[in-house]
Amino acid sequence: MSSHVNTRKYRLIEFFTPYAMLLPSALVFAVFVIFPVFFSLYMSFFNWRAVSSTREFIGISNYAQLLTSSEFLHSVKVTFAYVAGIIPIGMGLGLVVALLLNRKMRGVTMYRVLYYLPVVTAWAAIGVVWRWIYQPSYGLLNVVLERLGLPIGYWLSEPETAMPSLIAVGAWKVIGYNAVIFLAGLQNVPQELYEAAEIDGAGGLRKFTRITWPLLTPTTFFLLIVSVINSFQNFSGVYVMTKGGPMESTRVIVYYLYQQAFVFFNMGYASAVAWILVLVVFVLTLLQMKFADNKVHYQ
Amino acid sequence: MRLKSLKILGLLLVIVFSVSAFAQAKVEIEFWHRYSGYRDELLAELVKNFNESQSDIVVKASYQGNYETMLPKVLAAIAGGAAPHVVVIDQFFVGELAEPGALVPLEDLISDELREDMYEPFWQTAAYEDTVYSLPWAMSNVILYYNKDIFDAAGMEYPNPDWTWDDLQNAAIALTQDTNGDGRTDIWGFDFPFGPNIGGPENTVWLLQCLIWQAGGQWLTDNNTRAGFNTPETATAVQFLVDLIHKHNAATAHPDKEGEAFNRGIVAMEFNSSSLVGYRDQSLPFRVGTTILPAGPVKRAANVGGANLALIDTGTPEEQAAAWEFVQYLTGTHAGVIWAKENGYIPTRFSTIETESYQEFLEANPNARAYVEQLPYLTFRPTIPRYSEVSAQAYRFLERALSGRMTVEEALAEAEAAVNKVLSGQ
Amino acid sequence: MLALQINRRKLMPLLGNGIVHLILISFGIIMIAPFIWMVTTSLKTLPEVYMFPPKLLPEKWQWSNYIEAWNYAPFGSFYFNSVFAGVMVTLGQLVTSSLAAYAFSRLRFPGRNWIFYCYLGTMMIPYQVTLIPSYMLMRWFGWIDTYQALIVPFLADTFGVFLLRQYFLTIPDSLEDAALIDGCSRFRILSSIFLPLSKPALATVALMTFLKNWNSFFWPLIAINSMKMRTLPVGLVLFVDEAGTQWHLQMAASVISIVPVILLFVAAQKYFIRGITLTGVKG
Repeated sequence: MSSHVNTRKYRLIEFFTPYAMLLPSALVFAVFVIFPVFFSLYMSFFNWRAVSSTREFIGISNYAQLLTSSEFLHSVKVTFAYVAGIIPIGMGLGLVVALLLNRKMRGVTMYRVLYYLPVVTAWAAIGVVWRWIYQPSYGLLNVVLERLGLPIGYWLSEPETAMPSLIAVGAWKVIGYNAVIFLAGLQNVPQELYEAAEIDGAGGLRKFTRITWPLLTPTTFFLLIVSVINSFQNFSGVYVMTKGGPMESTRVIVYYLYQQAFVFFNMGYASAVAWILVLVVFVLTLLQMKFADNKVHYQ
Repeated sequence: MRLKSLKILGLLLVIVFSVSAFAQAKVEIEFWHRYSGYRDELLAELVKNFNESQSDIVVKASYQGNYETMLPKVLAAIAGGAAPHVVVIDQFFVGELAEPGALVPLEDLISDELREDMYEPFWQTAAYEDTVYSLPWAMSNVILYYNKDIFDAAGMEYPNPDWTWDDLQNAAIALTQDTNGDGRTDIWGFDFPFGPNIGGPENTVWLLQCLIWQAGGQWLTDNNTRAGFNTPETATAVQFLVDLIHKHNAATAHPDKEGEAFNRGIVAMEFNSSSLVGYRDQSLPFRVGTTILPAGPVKRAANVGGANLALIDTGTPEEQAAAWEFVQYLTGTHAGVIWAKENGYIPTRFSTIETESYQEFLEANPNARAYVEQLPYLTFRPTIPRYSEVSAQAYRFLERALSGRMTVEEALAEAEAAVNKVLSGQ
Repeated sequence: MLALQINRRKLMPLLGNGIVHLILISFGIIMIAPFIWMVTTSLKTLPEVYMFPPKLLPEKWQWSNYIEAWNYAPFGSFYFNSVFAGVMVTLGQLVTSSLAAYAFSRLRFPGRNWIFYCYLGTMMIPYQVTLIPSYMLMRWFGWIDTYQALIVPFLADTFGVFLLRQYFLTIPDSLEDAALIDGCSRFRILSSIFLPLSKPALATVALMTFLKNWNSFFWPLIAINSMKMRTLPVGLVLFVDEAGTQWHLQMAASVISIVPVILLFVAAQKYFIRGITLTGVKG
């Protein structure tokens, strides 16, 4: 053992090194994330309209207003509907695809690329195509459905079907990502476990419920958290495809925020909305982590 | 001797340099607009002409996205202190920017001659609380478009300036047809495009207001502090449209995209902005006609739309003066004619309309005459600061009424409550 | 009995694979149908675009649409700006994230946990709330319409820190201990030992960062004014003409902006996939 490890100089360096390493990222965050966030918190206590020179301090009025605003509460409902729809479908189908791909067969790479394409494409580019596909009069979907003799629908143009249609596109865009992550999780399950189970006579379903699923829980948990955070923040999709309509049926919180901030310029109020959104996501994530402590199995 | 000539040389050099420096001290101003494609090129031409026609001012023009994306940019720019000198803003945003003092008031800069040379309702769209803050520039109004081929095929007479609502309704009903017997309507008599992706709530309200005014209704009242549309007259107007859609099944009821139903040739008549005339004349595969809007039960009316040029209160006095120069050029007769002809925007000045060049244009483009003929009937939207929010709130309920999910009376009552909330400062 | 069992063992996987392929391909068609539609539309003329019922393929392939779309706006500049900003941001994040990830995964220091939670917290902030204050910052620094505006605010991101930390946690302590004994500084350990071992994870972070930056829309829209400095997604906006969208050109422009991303992904997908999987699984 060298003695230099115990010198005071060494200990000092050891002490400061972590902070020095954190400094670059921390600095960027402090200036471009933390400061703006707190500044907007500050703004949320004011009756602050975008260009106004006069700003009234109104305390928590903005918060009071939005918590009693039927429009805001509606957007919360809409957002939860979106999240509740896209998580099971996106993750469920992602898992199915991963299970299918988790075999010794050719073409796995090709499929992975294929399924991942929607993930890497920008909403701005692909959202418009989907809007078109959903077009009731001449869109691809209805044309295909009619050819097959199936009933057609109004998709993005009617409040009843707009959200499900949106969820479908959201899921389409995220399945590849979920599949890739699940596939990795699956491939981490030791083959010996399966072989042992087969010797014991376990069938496919039993193997899944007793081995695969439990060992997949870390992955599932990770995906769940990431998916919740991301789907809560969905904006571009709504913006390009429905603009919150029809009849506010797809007006998620972030879109409501965008409207208040950039269409009506109620910056103070919009900042309050943003903060509530952050709180909601934060609480949900904490809840998930608590839940995970009980249910997630690590090797 | 030598020293003296050196000094003179030195002095001369100094003079030459300072004169050239002075000459190079051009004022640079920034101009943000929201026109893309051929309009962008046209503007670039006009700006180049201006820059070359004089040596004191250089204008830098840039396209900033359509009106939706342009506005957040302008606001962010003003808030951040990096605003352009001249900006194109939609009329209903004038109040938004004027109220907090972001715009330069133009009252004193406008000569009487200029004032009289423009149509008075145009000035109304440019003013906030009786002070003019912008120059009317790219103006349009609502006209009736019709598909000549569809009318011909049915052997019906084209819409004409004497039409009333009844004529419109009868024609729409007669022209709605299921041409191939599959149980679905293939040709619609009338089209009222509404829906979030078609210019947004403001566009729908803008079109609807024509009907409202024609029925003798109004939008805001009490000096623009309260909603004034919860009246039987307004109900008549909205009901007319609702009936056309749901009772007579003569108009498309489902939101279509960007007015495309008409462009696709499946609609006989449509209310829409006169700014589309140029494009529709040239690019559609069927023959297009235009005329003024039919008269309502009480009167004729057509809404003014479009964008004005505003000066933002930023930069040095020289820059502001330069900006005013530039703006006058753009709205002047020469540039005005070019802009109007290539564009489908109404020339804002009488002197522009009366030029030979423009009169020839009208001769050659009959479809452009409608908006000129409608000038006596123009109406305009209130220029209050939270206008777009007012429209959005009203639209929420109008959308439901037009979709047949709410009765007109209910919709108007709810809309009134919502709009009053906005107007009272919430 | 035994013979039957053996046959089944051999047959089932083959049949199974066949069925699986069938399912994957059918579903895969749904995955890429919109792309195919986008490409075929980009090759049509505008009236063809409106035709009902719509035809899949155009009469004549209008490659000229691409030239027209490219000339509509300075796509060359757009590409350059997107690439330049993307590369700089990616390099920056690789540096800042690996530093932070090493600190979180390998070093013990007071406040480590709660600082980490703070980092995680920043992931949850919707960008709308920071937009105007951030813009004001740009103004105060004089960075509007410059590359700095596109690059500096994005030089650090928690996702990279998160990913790399997960990965570093799997590297055995023993490697490090040896180096420490030899008197290596932590920085040297990071650069000489950890980074070379973490290529897949780094590749993943690089790819995902580049991608996110390539697709970003709102910020470049307000932070950049002049045409020459614009990025690609904003350029797409140019096609929303007032007189009715020029669908064929817009689709062509969309294709132009997606193709490089797809090519990059296909070329690097091996790293990419391996990287994600190694980090996403550890929980």
